[in-house]
Amino acid sequence: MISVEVSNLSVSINSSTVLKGVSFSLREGEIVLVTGPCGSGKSTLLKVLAGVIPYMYTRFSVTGFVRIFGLSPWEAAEKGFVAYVPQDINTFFIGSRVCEELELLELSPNGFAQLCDRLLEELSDGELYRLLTYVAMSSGAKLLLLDEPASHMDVETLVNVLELLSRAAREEGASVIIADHRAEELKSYVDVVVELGVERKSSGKNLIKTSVNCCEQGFAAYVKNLVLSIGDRVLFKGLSFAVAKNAVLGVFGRSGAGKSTLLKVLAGIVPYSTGIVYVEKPVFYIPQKPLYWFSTGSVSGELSLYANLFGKRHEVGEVLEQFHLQHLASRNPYTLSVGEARRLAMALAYIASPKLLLFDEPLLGLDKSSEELLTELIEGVEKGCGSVIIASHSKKLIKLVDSYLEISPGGEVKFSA
Amino acid sequence: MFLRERCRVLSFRISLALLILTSLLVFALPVKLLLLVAIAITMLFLYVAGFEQLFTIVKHFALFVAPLAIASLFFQIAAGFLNLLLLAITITRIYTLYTVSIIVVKCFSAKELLSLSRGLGPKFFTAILLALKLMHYSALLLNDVRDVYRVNLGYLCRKRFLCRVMLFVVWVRAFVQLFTVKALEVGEAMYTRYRGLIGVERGR
Repeated sequence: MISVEVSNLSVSINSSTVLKGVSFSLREGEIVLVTGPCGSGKSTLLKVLAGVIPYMYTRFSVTGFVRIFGLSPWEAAEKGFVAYVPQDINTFFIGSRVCEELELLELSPNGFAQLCDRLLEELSDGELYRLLTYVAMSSGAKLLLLDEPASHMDVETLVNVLELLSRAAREEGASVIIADHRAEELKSYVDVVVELGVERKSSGKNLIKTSVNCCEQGFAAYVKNLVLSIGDRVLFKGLSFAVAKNAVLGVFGRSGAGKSTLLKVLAGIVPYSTGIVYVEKPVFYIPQKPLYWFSTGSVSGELSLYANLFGKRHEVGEVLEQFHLQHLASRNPYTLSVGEARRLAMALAYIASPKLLLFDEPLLGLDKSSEELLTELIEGVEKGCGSVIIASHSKKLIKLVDSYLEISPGGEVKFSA
Repeated sequence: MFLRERCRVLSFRISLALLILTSLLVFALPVKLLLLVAIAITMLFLYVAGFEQLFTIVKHFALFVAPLAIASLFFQIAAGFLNLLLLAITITRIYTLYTVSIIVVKCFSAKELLSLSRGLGPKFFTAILLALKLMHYSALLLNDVRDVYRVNLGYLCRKRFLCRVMLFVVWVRAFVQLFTVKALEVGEAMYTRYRGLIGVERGR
């Protein structure tokens, strides 16, 4: 039986087209991967199927035919047929702690025993995504919509979740639509692939023209005997490491290991009681939460603000081009996709030219060409005698770093050069 | 943890009942008994939160009430009917309500409030619950945005007053924009995740 039918679907906002003429259908028990570059409309498609566009976000104009189990998305959602996990998971919860939230939703806390008493706002990105996926799967919905699971979860958790989704599809006839640009990691689990948009070609230009080989010697950051606990959870016990000037350090580990917390310690956001932390300033911090933290009404306005603050007024046009943001110049940053918002954040970091760039989950929402931009940004900061610390659950970035820390839950840390 | 355990003894439901009862008592009881109510609420606060927190709330209360009390005193003198007893009674009433409200906040449980809402009319209680959660949510959001701006731009103008004012405006603007988006996300979450709580049947 056909569960989802989409024919000639087009979506636009303020005369800018997000989706044009999308058609596909899905049968019960099938898993579809919707893939495409940043800003190709993957999240918008999921929001249309979840019924939130245009019923909640009324500024969107939607044309075409969409039926879910023969109903409009709104009716299907009203009947509880659809469950949706958004890409920006720092969302609203009624409960305060994991088990309280699950109890409210009348779900068993199985599989969340270790996180049971943890505050929801203290969960890592991966843990939160796993929780939301579990809530969606247990809701009894016939259509599960997941936005960018591969960006949020480490490999082991992702495989685990994909197997559960496959089982729900096989045994219970649930239909699953996953929107993700990491097609390679997900292809073996899906029945159909729907491609949206066209991948941009890399400009082939190097971002930063300066090639300075006379960087001062010394450390951009060092940590000695750092002990850090949150509640009764030990994150680091006697952590020590150093990052040389003009070097890149990777911080890897599974979801919830403490990667983001370590970056926050370095940024001076999270206080610590024991140990020494030195960081060369100025620092630029690109957080994972919140993903959006912009203050002006347009992408070019945001870049101009930073260019003014850092005395680089003449660079705005160039930066727009370098970070593939020209076509988004007049868009409100809060209407950008996560990948586009991350590109804007990278552009702001580039303007700020920090001594130390702290980048939390740089791959979040980035497609292949944006990943190349990331590589160029990191190389650019290095060439400008700056240093970079990136935290990620994906070891894909290992090729970009000079040395890395591998954090295990429980505070064990392995340092490799 | 210790605080939460003590709050478990005094459930949210009881603390809410206590707030309603105290709100009535402070206005209905004779003045001599008002002092007893204030002492009883203080003792209860000591039990729930400990001495250190009592000291903190009294300090905050004093900062909040002192200007009002002084203004009221001047007004009484100017109007020619100085009545210190009336002023003391008003301050005691405000203090009692303030302390009992903090007890309720400390014992807050979304689960209990939701079960109460089922019994006492869902819309009213859902609105209160959402208002409380939104306040908490926006406080966290404000903190996150402030942290990002403090790290990335905070060092730019340490001593220049105008520059600092401009940066303050920048992060307030960021917070307002982000808060608007997050408010929409609250609607999205209610619609996509909490439909079951408001009575929609499950599909599969």
